[in-house]
Amino acid sequence: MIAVELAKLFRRPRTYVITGLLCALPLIVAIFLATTRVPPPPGQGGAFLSAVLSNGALYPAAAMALVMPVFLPVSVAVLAGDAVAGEATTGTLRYLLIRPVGRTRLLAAKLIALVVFVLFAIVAVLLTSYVTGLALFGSQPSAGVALPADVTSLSGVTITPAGLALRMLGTVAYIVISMLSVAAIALFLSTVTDSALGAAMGALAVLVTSQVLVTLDAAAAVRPYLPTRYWLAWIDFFRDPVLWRDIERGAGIQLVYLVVLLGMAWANFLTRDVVN
Amino acid sequence: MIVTRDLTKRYGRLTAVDGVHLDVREGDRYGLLGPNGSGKTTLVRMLLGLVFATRGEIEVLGRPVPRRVGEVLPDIGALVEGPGAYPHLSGRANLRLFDAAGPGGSRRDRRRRVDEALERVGLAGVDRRPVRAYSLGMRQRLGLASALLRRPRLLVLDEPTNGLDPRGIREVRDLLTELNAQGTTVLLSSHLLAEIDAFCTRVGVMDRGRLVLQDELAALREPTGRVVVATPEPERVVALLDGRVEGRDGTTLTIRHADPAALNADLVAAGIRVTELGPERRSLEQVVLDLTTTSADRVEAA
Amino acid sequence: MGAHRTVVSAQARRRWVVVLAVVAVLGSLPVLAGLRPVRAAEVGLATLRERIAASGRQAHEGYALSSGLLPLPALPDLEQVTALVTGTTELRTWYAAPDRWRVDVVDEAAERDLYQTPDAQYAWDYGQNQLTRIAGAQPVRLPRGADVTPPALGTRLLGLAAADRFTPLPGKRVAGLAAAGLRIVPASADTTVAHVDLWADPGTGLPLQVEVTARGGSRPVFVTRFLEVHLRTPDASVLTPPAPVAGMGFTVTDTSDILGAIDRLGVGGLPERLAGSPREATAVGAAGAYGAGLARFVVVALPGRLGYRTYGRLRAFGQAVTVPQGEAAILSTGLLTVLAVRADRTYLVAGLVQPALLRRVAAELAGGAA
Repeated sequence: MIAVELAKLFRRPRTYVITGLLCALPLIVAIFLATTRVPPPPGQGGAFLSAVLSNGALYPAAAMALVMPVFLPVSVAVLAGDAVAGEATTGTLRYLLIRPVGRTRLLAAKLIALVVFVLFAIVAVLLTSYVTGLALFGSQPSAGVALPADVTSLSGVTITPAGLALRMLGTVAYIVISMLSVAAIALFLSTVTDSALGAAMGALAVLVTSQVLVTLDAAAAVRPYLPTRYWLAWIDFFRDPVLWRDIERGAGIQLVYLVVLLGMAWANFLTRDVVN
Repeated sequence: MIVTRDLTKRYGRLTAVDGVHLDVREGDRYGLLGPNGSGKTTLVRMLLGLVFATRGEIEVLGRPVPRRVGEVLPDIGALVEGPGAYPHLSGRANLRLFDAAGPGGSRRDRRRRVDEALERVGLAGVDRRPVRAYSLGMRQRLGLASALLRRPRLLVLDEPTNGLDPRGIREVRDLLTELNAQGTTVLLSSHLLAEIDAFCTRVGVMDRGRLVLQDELAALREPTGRVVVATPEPERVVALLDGRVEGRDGTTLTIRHADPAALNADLVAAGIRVTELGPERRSLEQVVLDLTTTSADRVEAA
Repeated sequence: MGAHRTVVSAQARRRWVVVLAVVAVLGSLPVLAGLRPVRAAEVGLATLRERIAASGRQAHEGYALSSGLLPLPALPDLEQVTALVTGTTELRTWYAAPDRWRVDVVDEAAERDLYQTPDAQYAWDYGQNQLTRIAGAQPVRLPRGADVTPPALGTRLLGLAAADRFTPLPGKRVAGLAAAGLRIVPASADTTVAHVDLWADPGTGLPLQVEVTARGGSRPVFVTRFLEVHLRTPDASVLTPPAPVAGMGFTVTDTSDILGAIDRLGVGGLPERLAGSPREATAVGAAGAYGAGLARFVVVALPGRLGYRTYGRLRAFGQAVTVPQGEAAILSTGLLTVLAVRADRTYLVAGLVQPALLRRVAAELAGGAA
């Protein structure tokens, strides 16, 4: 069933359009930055953006910071919202179920396909932005000699290429985990409604609410439990020493959301009447 | 093959299926007939474990549904309320995906199985066009092919000839007849009398969620005890059989008479010319119209 | 499902019960963790005070959060200072000895680090991409992130409050440690501080949480506390400042901030006495401290342009004060009171003191210097 879901994912032009859009955003930003050379003021604009002007090797991290807060969750919500509701709309859900595909298995396969999509999209963004970064900003401030692309961490310590690779790996893993809660919310809503758009909008509504509450001091009491609270914690991979606190908490919260919402999706879907 | 007891499904205050005792036997060509909205589709969905009953029991292929529906579904091919396919993929790719999704059926002979199923429904020459570009009839055939992928023991088909032209309908009927001859039980649900009439051996009639009739088709069409006579001289017949003529439509008369042969002899003896003579049989349409009340999609003023 | 039970509704109910049970278990974990009883080691008030005062030698590393709720506008060139008291600051600290430590002020996507090594301080600002070596003593400097870690703030307030009243507080769990508490109630009527609550590790005296409550307030308006703390000596590599590399700004200076720069301009000449208190002997040049204990306040003479902008800002957010000559504006936040006086030059006065006291200071500064 997983193979079937993956085949469906990768034979769908939509997958590549979304990934292409995700890759395009950092590219556009890079082109503007490279032509104007106007860095965002420190502390404002996307993370790492001012640093990439001096070293393009850090651009993948900046690209992650660009797509992470809005673009990536939106695409995950759209795909996850479509996961069950979309099958119901095309009428294929009932044919899958009488094939028979167990309902739990179907949910699990859908989730795994979503994880694979996130991985695919992130890796695509990382590769394109790495190439973009090196091509447009160069790997060293005073180019000329091809020196190893050492980058500076947020703490001012030089990161070796191997260290950078490890940190990027951690970043990818963390972002995949962060997207799990979005996927789980949209997947649950997708089992509730037959409208893929409705499920995606519902998940986005939850995320936007969470984002607003994160910035609201009055909501400080619930802040640690909001799904988006620790979304940017992967930036802590680029401190020296790595600040694990938020990363651990973020991963924990995401797993809790995943377990709960997947549980709800499962409880709802297993005995739901499929009338579409 | 299929037995249901007191099967009931309510959606809120609406009772879609109401106390149905369905009985489909091995080898049957069972026709489930009823107007739109009479609960046929909900009944079929419950048999397949897609919709869960409010009350009652279902047994399919000897196993309780929905509890052990996973064990029986591999032996069932079904077409429920129109075909479903991924519109951006070709028909062949769709069948491969559906084949891979289900249990059984090894990867190696997947291509063969898919080709065979396509061949059976007359789509052997289908190209790489996506299903999006298919006509309704082609989609219907594709749905049928998907139902046939695993050589099922039981076929549950809901409106299978929807969108097919008369030749297509005939092809599907021939295919079903052939499969039935090979031992496949077929449950066909339709609102088209002619379709059931032409194919089925047993009929169940649904009306407003209730199964109002379930019988052998032959039994339903027994003679009515009347004889239909066509003659160029209707007045003479009326004069001869005064009082027994129950209806007259131009040159065709309906006469209450137990024995058509004896009546023929009487008419001939009286020198009356007869162009046609035969026992009157109830038509399936008449049976259904007598049993059903109103079409569900008709909205009367209060 | 609705009002009608289907043949599977029992299963569905069971599933939902399982899901709800999982939610309940997961949701109650943090609550249960908070309910763990605290059994702080019995330690006398005097002993605790001594231990806190001596805790400067205690090596530790941790993650602390300081949050101020003071309604103060960002003052020109002092944004990093006002941010300390108006918002939440994330701090990472590594402390080996009084002359070997590091404090990071962690922002969403930036970081300002301060390294203390035996021979110099190093400041790293990621946003500015700037490494600064600060050589020599800094007689006058602005408050910074490293000053509001619980140990730094706790020991400093305790030092200031030598003459005040101390009462014990019930123990409390801070960053997983059972901490013993004490309360400082200032004796002076001039300060806005109602009390300072301090919790420290009973064994080592390391302050773990400090809460400052203003007079008339029920909740603390400034809190700094460890969320994670380990009583161990940090790794030497962590305490080593980064080496300057190509592409990174590097400067060597003997003043770390604008106050030091102003001080070196030698605007100088602050009054010997203000509001009845003599100027502290330690203060030099453009900045001076007056008063005792928590009622201490600081006066800075600001140069022309900066003084003008600072005054304008305070005038916009605060209240005007009538003074004999020139003009003055005061901003009271409940805890911190800030005053700007424009007379022959601009003075910025700040302290945890009552507005009435600073009004007197305003009058003296504006009248006396004429």
